[in-house]
Amino acid sequence: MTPTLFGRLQTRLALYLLIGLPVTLAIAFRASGWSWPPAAEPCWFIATLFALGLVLEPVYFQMQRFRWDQDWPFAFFAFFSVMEFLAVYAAMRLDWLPYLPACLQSRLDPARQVPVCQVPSLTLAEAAAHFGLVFVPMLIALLAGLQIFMVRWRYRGGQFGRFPVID
Amino acid sequence: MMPIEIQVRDAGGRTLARFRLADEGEYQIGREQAKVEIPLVDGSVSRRHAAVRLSGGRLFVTDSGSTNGTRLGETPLGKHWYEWLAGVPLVVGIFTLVYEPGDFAEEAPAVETDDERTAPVPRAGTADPVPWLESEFPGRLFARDTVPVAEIVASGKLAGETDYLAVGGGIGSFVWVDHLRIWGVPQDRIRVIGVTASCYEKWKEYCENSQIPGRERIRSNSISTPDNLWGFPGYALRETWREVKGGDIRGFRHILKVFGEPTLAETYTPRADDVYAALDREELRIGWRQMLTFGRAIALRKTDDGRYVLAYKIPADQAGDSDRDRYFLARVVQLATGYPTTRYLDDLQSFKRQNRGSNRVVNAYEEHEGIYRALAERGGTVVVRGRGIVASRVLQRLHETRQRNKQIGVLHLMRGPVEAGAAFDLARRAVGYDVEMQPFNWPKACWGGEYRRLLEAAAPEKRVELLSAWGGTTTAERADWMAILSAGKREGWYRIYFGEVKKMRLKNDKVVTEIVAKGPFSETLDLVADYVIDCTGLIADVTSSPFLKDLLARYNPPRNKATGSGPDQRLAGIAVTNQFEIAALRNGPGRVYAAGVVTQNGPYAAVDSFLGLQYAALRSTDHLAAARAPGLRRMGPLRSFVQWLKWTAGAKP
Ligand SMILES: Cc1cc2nc3c(=O)[nH]c(=O)nc-3n(C[C@H](O)[C@H](O)[C@H](O)COP(=O)(O)OP(=O)(O)OC[C@H]3O[C@@H](n4cnc5c(N)ncnc54)[C@H](O)[C@@H]3O)c2cc1C
Repeated sequence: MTPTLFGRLQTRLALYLLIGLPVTLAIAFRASGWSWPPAAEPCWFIATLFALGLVLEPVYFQMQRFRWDQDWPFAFFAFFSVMEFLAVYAAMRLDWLPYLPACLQSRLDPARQVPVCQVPSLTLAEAAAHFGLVFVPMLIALLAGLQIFMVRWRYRGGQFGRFPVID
Repeated sequence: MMPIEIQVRDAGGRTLARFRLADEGEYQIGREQAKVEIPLVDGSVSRRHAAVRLSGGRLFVTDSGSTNGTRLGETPLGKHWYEWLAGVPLVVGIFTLVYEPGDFAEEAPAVETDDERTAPVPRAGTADPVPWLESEFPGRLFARDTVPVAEIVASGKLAGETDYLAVGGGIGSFVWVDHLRIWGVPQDRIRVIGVTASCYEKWKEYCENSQIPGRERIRSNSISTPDNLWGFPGYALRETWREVKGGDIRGFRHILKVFGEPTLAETYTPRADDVYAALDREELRIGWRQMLTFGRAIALRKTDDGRYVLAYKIPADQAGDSDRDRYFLARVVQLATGYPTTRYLDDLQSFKRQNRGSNRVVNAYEEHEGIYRALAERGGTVVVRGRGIVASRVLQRLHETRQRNKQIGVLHLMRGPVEAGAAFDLARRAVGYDVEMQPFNWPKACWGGEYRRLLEAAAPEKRVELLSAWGGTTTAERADWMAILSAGKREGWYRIYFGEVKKMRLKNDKVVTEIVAKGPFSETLDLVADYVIDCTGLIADVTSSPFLKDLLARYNPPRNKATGSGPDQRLAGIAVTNQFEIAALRNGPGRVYAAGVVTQNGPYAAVDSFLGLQYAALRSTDHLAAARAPGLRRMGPLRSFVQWLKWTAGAKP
């Protein structure tokens, strides 16, 4: 059902905590051979994706104000999610994310004698698999899962909790 | 001329009902509530049993070929008209009808109107089957705000007491009871008073009359599931599952629709038959029939011990030798009595009055199969009035009928062209074929989104503003329907007219609709047709339900504000809190809630939709749970999940 802005943000946060975090940790530990510390790239990747989502939600919301039903198809949601993923992945490859741990291991460029970031090791296939493992369960949760547990969620525009009860 | 009042009596001489015949013309007597003016609901009465004619202030009667016959005094009636003199009993089945020379109605018309454009026609079927009404019961006992329980007990008519009582027995009652059951209330603490065995009977009747047979799709989305309060699995997934399981891979199209709607695909809507079947299943699961008592609610009062007492009448065939009057006591009551009546636009009403018995002009919500049958046989011209969803269904049906007889022409009459759709915030509603388009009867954000929040938070004046902006007559954008209109225009059998109707009359067996065209010339135009099908709607007027009218008169609860005018008019419902409680009826721990069209123009826009009924039920159940009402548990994620599993397994809640 049509969410409210606050509901969108809440739901996104909850889905990243419930699905994004465990999936990402599993992937990161697998990459590090199940030893501490887990690989950093998957964690930074998902965190960036989440942060971008938080920034874009208000933009999407404003765009939907031009639509009579204040809503758009799930297909659009899926499309924009894939776009977000591609944008974050491209930013990583282009080394626009200065806080990536890859930068911590920067090496000296022999020709120019300046430190440069190492391109992150995450390949597109790896990133896409990671994204898919997070996104598909999220979509299922949105379409089906959450409302089984939270009977009020869909009427509250994606917000959790009860309706305020006034006597 | 003074109106004549006919009294209906039972074998014991008790008056069950009164009918006032105010106009000259013919009145049908029969069991089929929707089609007769004087409904007598009992197996001993034929569907169309007899007819009364008021002419020159005198009454005449005839038998209409009834199974059990009609007697006037001692005379069995045949197919002629007999004069019916005052004081002579007319025997129809188990009922005796009489009128006295002095039996003229003194009171004002039974139903008042609050505007002059439209006026109600008290009609059975869509209104209340009247034989149980307007009797002396409950009489003086109820002539006060609070009734002592001791007196109810002393009356000997107390049928029982319960914690939760749902009045109406339609889909709104069902959804509320379903919530209570899932929140933990046992079956034997809930009672339903209603007139139909299944909760969807009334709705089904409306659907069938307005051209939505079982195989057709209705106008709500996949997750508006009155049989499942979670909305999962929705109708689309169930339909996909069924078809794919049956080996039809195309079944996936339903789910894809939900994924692409409303922009990339037409909005998914379930088949009416699937909705009925799902409700059947849930009725069985929660024990609906065990909780149901057949009865027509007459009046509700507070009791002196913080409860409520409902006076109701049970059907004759269940009363046996006793009378039909009963009381029921309850702590919590929910009112969901649906549309009180059909209201006709003024011009339609005068036509009906002047041409009683004429079937040339019908309201689309009434049974009117005969028109399509006649058109298929003989052809003819039809005027379709209105531009809502029902108009589009009727046009579709006329198109189907045209496949059998090409001599059918359709004149589509609307009040004026629609140049631009309604506007709100940054958005504007789409328009096509002079009709405003939107998938459902309110913008989607009204169900759970930003608009729901806005409306709930708004003060009454602001609510009216918002509701006016979002409301109005709309239809769903459907390619099949639009293709029909395009083809109709091209082939010349479909034409649109704009104008206000001045008058309708019958001339040479044709219906002439006089319209004043919109625009600078205001020219008048006569549309000559064989039939007129009015699709301008069901308008909800709570005061035309005698039960609600009594409640309003007694406790004077605040009303919402009305909006719109003409066919777009939305009358004022009873004001409810955001939890759907009628606050003015609070009685200590006792509470009265309402749902459906009775609460129109209140805190939620889409009250008269499945999802709206679910929303109302959720809010009121939560409200009760917070007050620790008997039997209710709190609904957290775990309980919700367990209950959902039970639903899936078909196990009792
Ligand atoms: C043609 C049509 C199509 C619709 N399509 C859709 C759709 O696609 N999707 C959607 O969400 N909604 C739809 N609706 C709206 C739908 O009607 C409502 O959602 C629902 O049926 C209303 O439920 P209710 O309980 O308020 O009324 P009803 O289902 O009408 O039930 C009220 C019951 O109360 C009974 N009653 C009245 N007075 C008394 C009394 N004094 N004592 C005892 N019983 C009484 C009535 O006889 C009736 O049986 C449609 C409505 C119509 C008319």
